[in-house]
Amino acid sequence: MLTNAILCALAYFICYAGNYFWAQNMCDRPIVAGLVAGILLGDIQTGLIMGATLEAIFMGAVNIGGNISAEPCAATVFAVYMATQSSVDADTALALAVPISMLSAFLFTLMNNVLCNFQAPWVDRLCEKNDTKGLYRLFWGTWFFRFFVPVLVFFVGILAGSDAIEAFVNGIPVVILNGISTAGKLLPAVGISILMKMVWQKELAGYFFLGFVLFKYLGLPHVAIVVIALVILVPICLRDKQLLDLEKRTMNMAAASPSTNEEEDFLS
Amino acid sequence: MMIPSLRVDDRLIHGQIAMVWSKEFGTNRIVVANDRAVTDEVSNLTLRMATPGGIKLLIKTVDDAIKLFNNPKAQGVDMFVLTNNVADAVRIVKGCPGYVQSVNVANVGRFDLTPPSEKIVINGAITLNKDELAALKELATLDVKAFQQILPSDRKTPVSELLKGQ
Amino acid sequence: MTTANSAVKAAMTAEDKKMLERIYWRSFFQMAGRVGGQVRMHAVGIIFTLAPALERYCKTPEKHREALMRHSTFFNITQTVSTFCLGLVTAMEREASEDPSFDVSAITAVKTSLMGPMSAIGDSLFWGVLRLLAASICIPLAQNGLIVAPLLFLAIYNIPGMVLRRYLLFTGYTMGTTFLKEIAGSGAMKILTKGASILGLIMVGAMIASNVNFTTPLAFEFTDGSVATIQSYLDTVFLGLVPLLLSLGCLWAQRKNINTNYLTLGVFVLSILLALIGVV
Repeated sequence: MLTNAILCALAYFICYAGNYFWAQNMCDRPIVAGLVAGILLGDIQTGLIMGATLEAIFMGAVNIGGNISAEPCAATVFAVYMATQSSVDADTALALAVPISMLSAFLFTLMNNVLCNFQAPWVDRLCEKNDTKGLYRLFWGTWFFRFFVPVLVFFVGILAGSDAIEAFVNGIPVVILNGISTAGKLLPAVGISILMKMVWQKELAGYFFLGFVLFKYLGLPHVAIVVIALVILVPICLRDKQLLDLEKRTMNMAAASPSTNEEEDFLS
Repeated sequence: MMIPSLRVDDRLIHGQIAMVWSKEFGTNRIVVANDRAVTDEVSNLTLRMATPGGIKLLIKTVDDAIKLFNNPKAQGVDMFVLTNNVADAVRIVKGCPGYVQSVNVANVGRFDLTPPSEKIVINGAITLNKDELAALKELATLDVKAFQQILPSDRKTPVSELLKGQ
Repeated sequence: MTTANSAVKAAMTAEDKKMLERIYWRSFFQMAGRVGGQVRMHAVGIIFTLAPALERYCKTPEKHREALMRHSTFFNITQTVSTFCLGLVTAMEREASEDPSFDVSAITAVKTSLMGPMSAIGDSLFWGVLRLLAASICIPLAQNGLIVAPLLFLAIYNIPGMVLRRYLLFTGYTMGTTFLKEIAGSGAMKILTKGASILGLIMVGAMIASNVNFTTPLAFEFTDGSVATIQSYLDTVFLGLVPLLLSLGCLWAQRKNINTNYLTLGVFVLSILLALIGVV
């Protein structure tokens, strides 16, 4: 039990801290965290498969500008742990991941926003003293601290909570577990729809259905769909460029007052 | 014509605005009301480049923006408006009464040039100098819903709550 | 334009290149320690990244101290595009060191102006489209048990970022705001955004098709003993009808500003109800 908790905490640290350490390289995304958790907990296949499905569920959980709404990394490690080390089955573990992600988002927003804000005067003091070494010590120290605390909380949570959660899940009647398993298969719709909303444009909506049909009816692998997408969009972009150049040439000839044109365009 | 949201954000258009907030209000028009963005070439160019596809952008000074909102030709359209300080937002609310449906004081004053010792920290995202604090207090007295909401999934913290103890 | 570019590039000394290389590699660590939380974000990370430039151009400890204080204010920008701003800032720090009348507040002004909009561009292209691309290709591979799938995901996401970072750093240093004017003038950004949106939409469609699954075992038994499944009827109308309707429903709900947590809860409740009445 203790070993498992340590391994989970390690997986979480590697992925979560590792992401911000270098380039925000997305190693805290479920698809990678699942693999890391799988390797450490001894079941790579489960880790891979769960990570992949959770990636789809958490597609919409974007961390933009430092504000997070759901934290998928802890959730993924926890789900893989439950699926590999306890009697909970993979589908239920998947569905459990969602509430866990909200819990960890809440805890870690607290961490980021409340606990580190007090350091601002320290930064000023170090800059005034021209102390770059001090700044770097603070920088790397904060990196460790910022991720070590959530990992510690996660570790304690697993030690204290996983048995209780397992017992709770095992107490759920089979028919409801069936429903939870179905939910796990339908949840990616919610996560992906968040991303849909971000990229959706009325005039381009048809392309969504194109992608859907290419997969469902033609059974094309995603790489092939990417290639088809590029084949479609490159000529469109080139044509747009031609139109833009044409517009510029006509505008130069007309030489109308730029600001009234702009406002009329905006309001039309 | 309605302004469903007048957002005070010191970075004007950034990731969350482009990806999340621009789709929240059912309008494809954004107005950046900022005196400096009109004249500063770098700001102007990058704001235009940052506007997501399918969205129309207009960059105006605060006075010109108020004129635009009151313009009869603008009466049929809704607009999402961005300013980068509370004082400008107050001017807009006062300048076009009834048009602004809500003011979202999201991120303010994190990098204006006031020395840190003179700034009042309301919370992690809002730091105000004396003038901005006065403007925020004035905003609380105006007849418009005013709150802080960084992400659409966040709670709307009313300005009165933000001003507690100030 | 190309001749001007190469002329400026040719004027770069070996020492310039070495400094920029160091900045390039340091830029990968800028978000490691968020010292000062929300109030300062990645200011110290930027100080760390720009250190080679500050060391070189701030000739006295006093000047260095001023530079540190200058860069200690709030700064937050998408990493992959941050290097354009950093290259530009490096060029301005150089100017500041060579020209005593240079107004250093321009450096802070440029950081302030670029921070937001460049984040919008970077986030949309990387968080939005490239991540979606990488995920849609690698999720099916991982579900088939290929260990390289997550590694491929990392490669697809990070390699373009690394290349772009380098390009933007050197361009920001050599061309500065001229580069912005060129891009704006050619309308390249609008076209790129449209292309990225088309790609994004196609891949989102494909992702819904491959990742949202619904089957119902419900069946009718006819009087002559033959069995017809509801699923086959659904499939005849449209393959993947239920996932499609569900995802469009979620999109519609979000446009009505329904919180996504409620949608998640809704899916749970709906699935449990369907299980209770035997539909799934």
